[in-house]
Amino acid sequence: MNNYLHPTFFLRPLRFALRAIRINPARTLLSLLGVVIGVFAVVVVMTLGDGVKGYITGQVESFGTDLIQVEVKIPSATALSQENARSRSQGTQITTLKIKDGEAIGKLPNVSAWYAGTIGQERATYGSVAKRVLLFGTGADVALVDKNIDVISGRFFTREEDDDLSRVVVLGSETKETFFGRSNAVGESITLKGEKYRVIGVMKPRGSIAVLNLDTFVYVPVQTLQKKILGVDHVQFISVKMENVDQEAATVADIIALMRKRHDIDDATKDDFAVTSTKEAQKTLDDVLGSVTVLLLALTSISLVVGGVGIMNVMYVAVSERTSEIGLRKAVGAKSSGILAQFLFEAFIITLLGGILGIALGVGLSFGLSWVFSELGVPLSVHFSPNALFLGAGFSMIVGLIFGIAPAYRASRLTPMDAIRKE
Amino acid sequence: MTLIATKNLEKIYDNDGVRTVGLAQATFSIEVGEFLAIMGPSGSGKSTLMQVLGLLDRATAGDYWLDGKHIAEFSDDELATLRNKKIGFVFQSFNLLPKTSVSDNVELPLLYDNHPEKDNRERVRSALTAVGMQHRANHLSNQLSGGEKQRVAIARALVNDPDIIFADEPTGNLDSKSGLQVMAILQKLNDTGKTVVLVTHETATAEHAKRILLMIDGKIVSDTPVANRKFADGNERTLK
Ligand SMILES: Nc1ncnc2c1ncn2[C@@H]1O[C@H](COP(=O)(O)OP(=O)(O)OP(=O)(O)O)[C@@H](O)[C@H]1O
Ligand SMILES: [Mg+2]
Repeated sequence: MNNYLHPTFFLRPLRFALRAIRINPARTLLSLLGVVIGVFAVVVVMTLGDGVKGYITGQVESFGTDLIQVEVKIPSATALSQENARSRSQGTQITTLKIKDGEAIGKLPNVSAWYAGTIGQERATYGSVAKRVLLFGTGADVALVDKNIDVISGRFFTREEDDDLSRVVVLGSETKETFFGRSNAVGESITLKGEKYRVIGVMKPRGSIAVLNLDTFVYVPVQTLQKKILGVDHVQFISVKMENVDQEAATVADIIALMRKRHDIDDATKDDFAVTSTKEAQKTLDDVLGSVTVLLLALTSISLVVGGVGIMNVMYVAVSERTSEIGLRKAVGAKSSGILAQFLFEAFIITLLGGILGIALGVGLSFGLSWVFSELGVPLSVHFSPNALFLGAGFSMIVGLIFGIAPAYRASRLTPMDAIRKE
Repeated sequence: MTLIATKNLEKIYDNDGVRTVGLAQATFSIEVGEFLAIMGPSGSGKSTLMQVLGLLDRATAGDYWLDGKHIAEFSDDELATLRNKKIGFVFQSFNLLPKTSVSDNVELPLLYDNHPEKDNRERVRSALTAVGMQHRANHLSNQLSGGEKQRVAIARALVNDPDIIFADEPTGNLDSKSGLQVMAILQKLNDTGKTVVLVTHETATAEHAKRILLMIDGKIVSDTPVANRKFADGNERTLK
């Protein structure tokens, strides 16, 4: 008599649920909405989150994973801390990092190349064109460390030119356009601080890192920048390339020990420099981006719960609106379990539809945004993440079941009498 | 053959301590093939009696045997199955599923039954033919007149080939012509062997039955055969 394993036990309530959903499209759409928004938000966060993460790690990797960066830092602050950033933006200058430090680091084992770098800003003029440009002072060996350094015409400066404080520059591709348009720049001179600097090369276009457009740089020998333009004898960072990435930890330790010795530091809290390997930075970035994604997911899940409460509401209304239908079904032979299954299926299918719609919209928006970003010069590679799909669909179905169960249970408990009498 | 037998059947409604007697001390029986009308003023307990007999509600005391089965011993699910197989209902307010086709409405009881669906179409068609509604099979329920709705509701009550049909004020929402049509159908079904229990407060309607139970304040006060039975289709027939 009670054949719960019979296929019709599931198929018929499923059919009734589908029919009810079809009969009432407006109600179905309304109850979908909350779930659509919730799943949509989850999917966008997941796919865009993955895209942003991929983009940022890709940017880091494009410099090479075998690099170690030695930077100046306010003693007692950590390199990435707010305090360090604040002090530095407020003009506190650390002037202790020198090119000689780089030379010493260059003699350490596992160090294959290095360059010292510092950055300044200056007004540059050529004929009637004048513009403030970013001056990037580097050692001549920068190309050995940064594999993206390459000229499209002319050449990069030499160690001799650096040591001789030669007034030569290599222009970023956009800066070249700004001053020279389509005509030849190599051999011409631009004026910086009243002195002429010969253009000896033009860089290949490199694009941007985040907001920094590398193609607007003007590359200057670091010592020329120090002595002739900025009037200082320190640098802001030293970039080091390793021979063997596997010994990264040991090399970082060697550099720290050497720097402490050279700067007479006996206590880590007094460090006026920070040593970070790309690998480490990558890991920190991954951690930060990961926790941001988790946080956003938690926030967006709240919208799913709100969607679930919406479903519950609609289902309660449906149950009371359809009390006499429930009564009739019971009168003609429906069991409580059949009514329960019918209303549960209804909630489940509605949320599943909402989930599918939310996934479609979310994926659509993610791809749309990635297109917009790449138009803006930030190539986010967004791909359809199966995780987002499973999470979106799974969440919505669970929400449907959890929030559908109370109204469905109420429907199933109605006695046929109560239901028929209600009018 | 006895289809229904009751002994001191009683139904007391208890709503938060407020007790209302719906049915008191009802002892009677109904034979297979009878056409019984339950009459009485409003609130006298007609619907209560019908709901208890139709297994929609449980008596609070007394005994009820349907087809020899002692109903008190059955679970709710078993009662649902009994309703599905043995009983057809017709209500005053039709109770069709809205925006659902006539044939889907009629098919409904067949879908709460585990038999294969292949002969459903044929059963729906013949039930609709029995009430003269076969030409409206694909209409939606809300496109029908009241009389047509009630005929579809009767087809739904018939489709499972039940032993007994309970009709609670089936003509209550209809004009007299449609009401007569419904009574003619019920009489025809009774002629083909179905037991019919009709609830009405109109003497003129009750006189289409063969026997009248009169209720007042939950009690059966008289139980009499109909002397001058009316025939809704206008054809006189000899009484059995
Ligand atoms: N669910 C209920 N709870 C409490 N009292 C009820 C309930 N259902 C019916 N009653 C009471 O039981 C009595 C019988 O009601 P019932 O509906 O059987 O009368 P009826 O003869 O069908 O009346 P009508 O001709 O108006 O339909 C009435 O006093 C009614 O108020
Ligand atoms: Mg009544």
